[in-house]
Amino acid sequence: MRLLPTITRVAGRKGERHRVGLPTSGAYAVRQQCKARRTLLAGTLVYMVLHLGLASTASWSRWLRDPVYADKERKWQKLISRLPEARPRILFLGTSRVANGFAAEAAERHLREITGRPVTVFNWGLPGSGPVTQQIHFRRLTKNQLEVDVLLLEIFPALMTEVSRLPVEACFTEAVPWDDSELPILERYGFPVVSWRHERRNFWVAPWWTFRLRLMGRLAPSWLPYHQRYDWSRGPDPWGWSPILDEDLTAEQRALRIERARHEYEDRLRYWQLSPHMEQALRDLLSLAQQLEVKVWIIWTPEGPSFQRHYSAQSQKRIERWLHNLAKETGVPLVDCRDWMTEEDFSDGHHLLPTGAVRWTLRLTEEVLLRAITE
Amino acid sequence: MDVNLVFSHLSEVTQSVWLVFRATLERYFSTISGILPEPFFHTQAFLTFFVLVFLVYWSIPRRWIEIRIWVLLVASFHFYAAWSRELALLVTTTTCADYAFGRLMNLTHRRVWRRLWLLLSISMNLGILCYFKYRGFFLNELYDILTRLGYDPGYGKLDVLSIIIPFGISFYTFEAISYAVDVYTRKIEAEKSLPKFLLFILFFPHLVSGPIVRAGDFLGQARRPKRWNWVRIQVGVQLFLMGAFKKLAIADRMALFCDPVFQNPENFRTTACWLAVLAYSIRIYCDFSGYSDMAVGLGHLFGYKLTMNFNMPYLSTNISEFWRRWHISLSSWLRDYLFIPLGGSHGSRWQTYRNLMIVMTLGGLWHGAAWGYILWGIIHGLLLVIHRWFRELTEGHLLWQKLLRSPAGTLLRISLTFTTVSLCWVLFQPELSRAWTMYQQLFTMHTGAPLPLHNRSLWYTVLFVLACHVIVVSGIWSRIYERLPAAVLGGGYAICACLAMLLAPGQGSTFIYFQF
Repeated sequence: MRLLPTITRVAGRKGERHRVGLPTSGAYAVRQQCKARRTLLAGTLVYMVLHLGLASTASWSRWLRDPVYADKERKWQKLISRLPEARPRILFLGTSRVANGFAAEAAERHLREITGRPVTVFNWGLPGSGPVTQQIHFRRLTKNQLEVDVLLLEIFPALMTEVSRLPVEACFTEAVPWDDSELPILERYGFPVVSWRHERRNFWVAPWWTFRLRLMGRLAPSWLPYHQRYDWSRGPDPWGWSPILDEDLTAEQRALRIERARHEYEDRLRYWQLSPHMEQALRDLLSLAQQLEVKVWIIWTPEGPSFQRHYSAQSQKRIERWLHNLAKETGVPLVDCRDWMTEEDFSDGHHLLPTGAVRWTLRLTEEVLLRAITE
Repeated sequence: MDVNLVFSHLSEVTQSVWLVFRATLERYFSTISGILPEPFFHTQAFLTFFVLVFLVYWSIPRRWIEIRIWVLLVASFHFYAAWSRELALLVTTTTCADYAFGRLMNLTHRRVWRRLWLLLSISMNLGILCYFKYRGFFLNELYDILTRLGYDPGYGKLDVLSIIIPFGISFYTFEAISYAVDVYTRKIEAEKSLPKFLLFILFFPHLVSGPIVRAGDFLGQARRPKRWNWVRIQVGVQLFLMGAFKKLAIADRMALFCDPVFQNPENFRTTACWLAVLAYSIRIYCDFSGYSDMAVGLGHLFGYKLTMNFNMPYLSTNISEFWRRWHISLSSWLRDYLFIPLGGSHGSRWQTYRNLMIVMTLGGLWHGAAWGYILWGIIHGLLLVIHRWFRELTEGHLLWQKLLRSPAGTLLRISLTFTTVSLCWVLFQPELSRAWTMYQQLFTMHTGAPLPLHNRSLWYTVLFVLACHVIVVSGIWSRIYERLPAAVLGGGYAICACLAMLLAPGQGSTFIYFQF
């Protein structure tokens, strides 16, 4: 109550003020009225400035709209600028499985040791990113002159499906990160762009609300729960690798994570149905890369026995047939790494622990990357 | 012409018109519901709704009081009907009935008749409250007792969660009862204007979560023409922003710490549970007082002054003072319409204690139909009794008085009151078993998970709340406030609005007191 000294000085009618024992002088009331009017006017003006300032910043700054991408791009840029002549440049686009499982620095070092020349390898793994996100990110990189020589492309069958006629990938993304020019691309692949356009109006209606998590994720990440920080890509090493920190999992923790993964993916893998939109997105990405004369490899990342059990025999066959046809039709080599690692190498059956990640990376380097850069 | 044929045609036409009317009404309300799905203040939809009503309200000439009343009435009805039109109709109907009972009471001087109308009004209001809020609880308790005794209850257990309780039913029921009692005791005259009376109950700022308004305070204001007043608008804006900040930036943030712990206390270590209790204390205070501030602020923006509901309750030096500072509109209602009619503190010591226990137990039950709330009320009753007994004990002892009133003693009393109140909040939930587990975790050393979030933001928030209290209590704020230039104050409002949004965590939660 005492936070509002003026509440008792509401300059209403003279009688009203007199009733509550307040000064009834007309001059005082007029002064208070003027001050209140000026205060509200100043408040509105400052708010408009703050509001428009953030909204307009957000309209051009990728740091605000898509900090996860911006972080990755900055790291990639830094890596390139460190040794601009280090060619070829190898980029691995994928999901969190790649983010956790591909130790790009180990690959880079190993390749340098074998070939005796500098190369650049970068891990562009982002949680939930399927062929549409990958395509858009690849387009952005190309547009920003960040050339790539070899592109490794992760295939995660669960992300090639649909949920209620919506690409699964669309469930992991939001309306905000995309540029206006990218919306038609998303629309082409069945993303709910119509409803997103409505959401995107919040840019201008309530920017402080729309960008609050992104801003707080930068200013005070510890104030937000992990999944709301938008700083996922800030943690990785300069080569983009985000190793899982808790290497020494107890059996109980591992079982819990495996159960969580089962809950998330079992149905999608057991009754796997290819989404035509996702397939088209993938084909378009492949042809785009080929047009730019980038060597592309499709990688089916490792999966432990506990995760492989989620595939029914039928869906497994269907996925394999589709992938082989795709590889054949596009001329892109397919590498099936599913059985390369053991269950102990994973935290939940499909995300590699750091030791496993390094081992897989080295094997991938020898069997794929080396071929990719020497062929 | 055949009369039957005419009637049959007429009946068909009437039926068709009725069907079209119903369909239109349904479409209309479903559209409204789509725009404003819930009666909450901190949503964009509400702000749009508010701005619209505000503009229409103030564009009407001052002398057209009735039109302005109707605008607010229609807006308030829509505000509630957007969530549930059936329940909005129910509230409106019972309010009309209360109006009629009030008028009937005024028409007669015979005590018997007046008492009858009073009883009818109270029975109707309490009957509806019991039907919606307490039916499930009492029938299920009866079912358990009968089953335990080996009798067949003859009905199945009710799913309490499936019973829809009208938002704010406890609040407007108490408002209606206080009106009937005040008219009966001739404290006020029965309101002659139905729209004004409807507005007294339905006025959207206080409809769903109070403050519990008294007819004497509100109806007088409704009768006066409202003049645009910049100071009043500023006060309204300031209160609304303050409330929004408390809700979004503090209460919702504290929910990140306390909700997971209160839901599964067995998974957390003892220190995490203590911090969760601290977080919950701040949360419930900022959540409810934030709502109340917004409600009072909105009231000011339409020229109405509603009762302030909180006065820094966590700075209370004893439990009795706490209840004079916490949810003031409820505690004063309980005092005026329950405690005093029961005899108040005028009887013997034991009668006073009994009255306190009755009032607080019913106060607990008012919050929710669950043993947790009842026990919470009982414990608060006991605390009030203990405090009264202690006060009587120490009243004549100068040394005690000196010790208690010294700075250290005051600090100790504040800390003790705060800790006691905070520990009582553990009971303030429907699941008694969870509260019990929480107490076990609190008072015996347990290992387990830490708080779900880094506790840095918890401590910053606690310090911020504490600093605000200190600044206000020491008088620094009132001194600064008067001298602050308009531009600085206005800038402060703008920054406060932006900060409220910026600091709001991902998932906003509804107001805790909406469920009551």
